[in-house]
Amino acid sequence: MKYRKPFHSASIFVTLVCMNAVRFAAAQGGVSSTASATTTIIQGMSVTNTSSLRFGAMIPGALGGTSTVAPNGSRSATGTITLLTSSSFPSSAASFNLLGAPNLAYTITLPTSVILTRQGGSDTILLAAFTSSPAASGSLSSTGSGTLSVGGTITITGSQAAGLYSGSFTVTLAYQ
Amino acid sequence: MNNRTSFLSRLLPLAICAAFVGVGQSAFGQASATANASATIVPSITITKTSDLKFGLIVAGPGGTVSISPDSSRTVNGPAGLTNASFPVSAASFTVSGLANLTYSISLPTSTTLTGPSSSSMTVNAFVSNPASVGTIDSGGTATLNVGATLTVGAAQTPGAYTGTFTVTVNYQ
Repeated sequence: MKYRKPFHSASIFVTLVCMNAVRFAAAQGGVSSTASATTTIIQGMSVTNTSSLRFGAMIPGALGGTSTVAPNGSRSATGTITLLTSSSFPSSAASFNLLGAPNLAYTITLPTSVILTRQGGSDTILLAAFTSSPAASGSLSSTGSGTLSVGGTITITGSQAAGLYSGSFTVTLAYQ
Repeated sequence: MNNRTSFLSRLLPLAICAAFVGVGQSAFGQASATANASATIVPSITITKTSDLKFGLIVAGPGGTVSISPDSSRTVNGPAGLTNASFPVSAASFTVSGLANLTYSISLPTSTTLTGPSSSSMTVNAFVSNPASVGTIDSGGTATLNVGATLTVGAAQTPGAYTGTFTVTVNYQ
């Protein structure tokens, strides 16, 4: 019987959540051991998208370049790109509402890159360099809520075909 | 046999535990959401002249003004204006091309000078356009911009042909 104990203790140690089941096993095996176990049931986390990531309208110019939307929604461009300010083509960072357990910390996983495709065509734009606020991890409020903003950078060429390019990306959050 | 049962009975709850922990993490500890991303690539706005600004045929004599409105009608104040098929009257016309439904701003010159025989000249100013200061590119990606102006003719202006140029600038708003 002695050889079982270390194994049994180890089981309890790494699977505290399942204490009752392990203890049941112990009873069957004729070995009893008592330990205290606590479990806190927390609310699962939910993420809801409330705003799209919109780069607005831009003119590539001769060489193209990159266009960035920061998590705070501000826009910038490099190369020969001219950003247009038009109410017809608003720009915004993506926004997500978070709901979960009060004060719990979470980690954020952003995609590496996604492809935007031109409506009515096959031309593409690469959307990458995602950034978020909070950046890599955050904490839910005392009421269990939170907001996550996400920006990114697109790269366009000087000969980028005119049109509306769209795609989608997924962010994942996990309790730390 | 007893040993084996004992071993299995220990393994089973562990497996259950593992399953439980796994479900807990994927279903309750983690969440994802998908957002749309979009960008609109706009072609550069272009403007092309399709018709020149023509004041037509004017009789020298008393000085005054000749105005062409954007709809190509002519108003003469002072000198006599003649109607002659060889000397047509028209507003300048431009085709603006760009992304459908976008608005554009119009910049007109303040004045320009027409030069004629023996270095004589006349001034054209008071440029007006239709649309006036802001236009909208239609659903086909083009728009027409008409421009008129006022010519000031001097008393006893030297007879002859007078020409000059002016530039209109448009920009996405």
